[in-house]
Amino acid sequence: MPSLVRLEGVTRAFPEGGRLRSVLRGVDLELQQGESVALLGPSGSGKSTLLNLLCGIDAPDEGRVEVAGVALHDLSERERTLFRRDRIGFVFQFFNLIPTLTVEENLLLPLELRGGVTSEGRTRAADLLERVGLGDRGRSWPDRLSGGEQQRVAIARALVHTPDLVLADEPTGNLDQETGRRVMAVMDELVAESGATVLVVTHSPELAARMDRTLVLRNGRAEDLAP
Amino acid sequence: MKLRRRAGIRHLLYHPWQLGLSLLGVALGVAVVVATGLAVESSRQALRVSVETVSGRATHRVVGGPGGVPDSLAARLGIGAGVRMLAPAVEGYVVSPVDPSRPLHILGIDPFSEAPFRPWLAGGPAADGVDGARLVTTPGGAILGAETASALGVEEGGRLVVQGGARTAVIEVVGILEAEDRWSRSGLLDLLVVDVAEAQEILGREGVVDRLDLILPPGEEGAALRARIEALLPAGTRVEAVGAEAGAMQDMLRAFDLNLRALSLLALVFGIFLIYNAMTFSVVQRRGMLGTLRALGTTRGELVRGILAEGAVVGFTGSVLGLLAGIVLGRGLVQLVTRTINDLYFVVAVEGVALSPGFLFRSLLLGTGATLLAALLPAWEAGSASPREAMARSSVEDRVRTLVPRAAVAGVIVLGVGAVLLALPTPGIEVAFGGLFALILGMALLIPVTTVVLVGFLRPAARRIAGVIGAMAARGVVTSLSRTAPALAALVVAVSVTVALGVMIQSFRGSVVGWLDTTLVADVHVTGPSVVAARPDGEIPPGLAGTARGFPGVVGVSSYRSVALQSGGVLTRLLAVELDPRGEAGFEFLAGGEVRDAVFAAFRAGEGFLVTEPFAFHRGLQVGDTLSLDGALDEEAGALERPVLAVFRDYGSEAGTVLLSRDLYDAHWTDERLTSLAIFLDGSGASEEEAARIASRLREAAGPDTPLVIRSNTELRERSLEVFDRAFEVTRVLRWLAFVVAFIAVFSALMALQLERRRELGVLRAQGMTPAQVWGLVSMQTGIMGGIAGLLALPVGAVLALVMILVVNRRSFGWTLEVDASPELFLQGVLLAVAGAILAGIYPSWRMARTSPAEALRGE
Repeated sequence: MPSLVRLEGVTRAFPEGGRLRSVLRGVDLELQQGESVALLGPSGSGKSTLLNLLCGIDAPDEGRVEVAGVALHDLSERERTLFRRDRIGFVFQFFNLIPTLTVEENLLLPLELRGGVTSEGRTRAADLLERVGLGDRGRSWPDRLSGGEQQRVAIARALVHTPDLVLADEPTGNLDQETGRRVMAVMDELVAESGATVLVVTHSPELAARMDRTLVLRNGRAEDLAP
Repeated sequence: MKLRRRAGIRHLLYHPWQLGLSLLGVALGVAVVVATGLAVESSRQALRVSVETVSGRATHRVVGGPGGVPDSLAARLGIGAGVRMLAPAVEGYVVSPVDPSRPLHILGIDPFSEAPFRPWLAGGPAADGVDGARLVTTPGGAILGAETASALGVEEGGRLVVQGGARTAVIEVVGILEAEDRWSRSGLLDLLVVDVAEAQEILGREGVVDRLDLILPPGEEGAALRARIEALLPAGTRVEAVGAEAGAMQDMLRAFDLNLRALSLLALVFGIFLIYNAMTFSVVQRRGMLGTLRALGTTRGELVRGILAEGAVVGFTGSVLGLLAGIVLGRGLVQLVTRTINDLYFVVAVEGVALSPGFLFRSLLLGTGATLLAALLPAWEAGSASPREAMARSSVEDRVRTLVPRAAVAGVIVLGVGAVLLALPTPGIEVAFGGLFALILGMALLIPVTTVVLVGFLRPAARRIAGVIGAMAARGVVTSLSRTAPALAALVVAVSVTVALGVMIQSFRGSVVGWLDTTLVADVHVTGPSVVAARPDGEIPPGLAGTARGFPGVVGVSSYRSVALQSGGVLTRLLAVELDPRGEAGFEFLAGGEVRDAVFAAFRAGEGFLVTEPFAFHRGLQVGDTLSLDGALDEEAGALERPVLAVFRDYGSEAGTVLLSRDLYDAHWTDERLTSLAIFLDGSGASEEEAARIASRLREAAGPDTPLVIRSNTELRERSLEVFDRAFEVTRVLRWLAFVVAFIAVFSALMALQLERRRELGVLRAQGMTPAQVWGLVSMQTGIMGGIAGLLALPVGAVLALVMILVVNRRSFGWTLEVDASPELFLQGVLLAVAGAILAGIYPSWRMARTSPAEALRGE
């Protein structure tokens, strides 16, 4: 399988109390096309930082970040943004649906950002909503949905523009166990169908067990956890 | 519509309070600017139309000094220079007892010379049925506009009593002119056209006219004709192009207009603060959403454009509303502005508000532009929202806290720029206003750091008074600095400017009162009916001064002759005086008066002028400088040149006045008339009865046809203050409007802040805080913010007041004012801030008390 994500010697530090605190200290990492990977690590280990680097929200201090053959570390902030809107899908812990857009509009937003909503795009959005079990809630406002429902909408939103890479930051962290399980089932199914690579940040061993591979961030470095 | 834009607009619509208050802020700001602009433009346009109406198609005019132009000159120029198109004109103001508050502009013409100049007044039946020749054939015949006739309740054939400078006359309406359009209607407003001889009689100008209108051909032919005319002109007369007078009159209003506009801009500045506050708030509220949008791939530019587009929608809508409100407000304000111009400068009749498409467009542009300006910073803030905000919420306040020292440094720099602008040795008013606005901005930037320091002091006290809730309330001001700082800045600026305006008006009034106490030393003041309230410009019989001196009980009389002279293209007011030694005591010299006796001796001997402070300021004159006055009869010199002997305090005229001795005046101008008398009675503090007795004898001496206005010292003092208060009525109205905008700014900023804390308050409720405790917490926090704002507004207001009094006012009008600030004004400012703050807390507290914690915790 060709690799979709390649990180080499990535470092990132943040100023804190007048000093620099190193969060990532030379991360080397490779994710294959269509692979699902769990990223574990204690709080403050740099999981979210790694996610931010992969989607171009942040840039490394040193090292190379390549996603789908694009060297993100060489791009400007604007270029990284344009890359993100085309190639990345994001699922947040707190769902982060736009409260002033309906469920359907939230799904259409990534398509619009890429240049416009086509009829195919609308069909795909409607189809995804059906697939996440919310086909009848397209006109609802996000705050009328339960947490699980909101996260399902967020998953559909992350996949609607057929991204190469889906990043999920503790997607079940804000849900009860049963709902989390159901949400992940939906996500697994849709991601597998789309062929996208998925990297899930989680604290849950159960969720990690569903993935093809598990990585753990320790002392600023990523290590493969033996299956 | 794009989804992002839709999301933004929905956000605005879901927060109707914020949207409503933003719209109100823009609308009020624009309304005040529009209303002021309309009032100023309308009065200027009325002045222009009025001058053009009476000038007709004349290209040039022959004018003289105060003595006017001998009417025989017309024939001399016709024969001697071959001038064909020439028409004499006499102008002045009269009042009718029907409506003494309505000065009528009297224009005396020769109907048979009028055809080329003012065809509508030409002799012979005109198309509209008005026959100018009837002015000559009917004794006391007059033509007036339909609107004026209607206002005075006269019809064709009716009679009207009018009082001129020195006499009372009865005129008969021989024609009523129907205006064809708004322009003509404005020009004809309060215009009374009579035969030139009739005007001379009514105005006491026998044998002279004010000017001879000319139409000179263009090019060399015209230049040659002008040269021939000039060769025949007697001393003291000259040819000038039409428009010079109107230009000089417009110039007189410049500072007045600019101050009004600047004041109205202050209201817009408050509006901008309000909008800035609302937009910042709206951005801060949405940081999570903006972060999500960034994470989903929205670029910085797209976010900035989105916020600016929202600002444009709010700005345009608010501007349209403000425009409509401004037109309504302008109709009221135009009356106040016109009255002030009539009181202080010259007579102008305004027919209505002058609405031009250009003005309306500029106003819309101003409102929308100001809103966009206010939205710039929040938009930049939105653009800088990191996608990480979608995941980490606390970073907003961290970032804002790092900005506090930077804002303080920027504030100090902007303050420095303001101070430099104010200290620049230039008389430019615009520079002074630039400095003032820089000070306001600089102080606003210093508010966050001052707040942090103040809260540090307040917190222990709040804890002692109200326990944990008190400490929370105080600390909350600093922990939500991204929300509280703009609100506090808006609050402090708004309150301090209203305090400063109050101090300025009070100082001005105090200075005028002090000046009146010093200046009004005579017991009885006599003048003719005057149309400009701030100065006597009527006339009284020349012999009246001598008559008064002979009355028993009269120990001295000062006589005055006030004339306006076109000198060097500028209108100069001359006051020729014959001062009684008692009258000399009323002068407070600001420069050159070290040896008073020597100054007055030189003045009496005609060796120099005394000038008022504004005159010296506007002309850049100092004691010892030579002042040249055109139009004197001194043929060899061509002008009267004398040094300035001293500069004295005077608040009577913004343009300033030149005093010269009556003997010097008589030696250079042919004009025996008198404008006013100041009579000194025997014994100090002569009674009102005594003054009334003298008044009665003066009226008897003048005769029944000579109207006199006689006032005792007390009456004149009261009248002067009345005029002063009227002059500041516009400023007061603007101050109150600014006050209202300020109040709304306070109210909206704090209310939005508390409404936004709904979730936080929900957590507190969930943890067991009772509705009453929530009420206490919210009220205490808004109260603390109001108190901080009030406290900060005191020094800021004092500094702004000093700048307004010592720099802006000085450069605008040339007056030195004594600073007079009563504690009530400052207390009023603090109360405004605290009351606004407490009121702003009521609704959120009430709402929170009614909302279940579960509902609040659900968030938006």
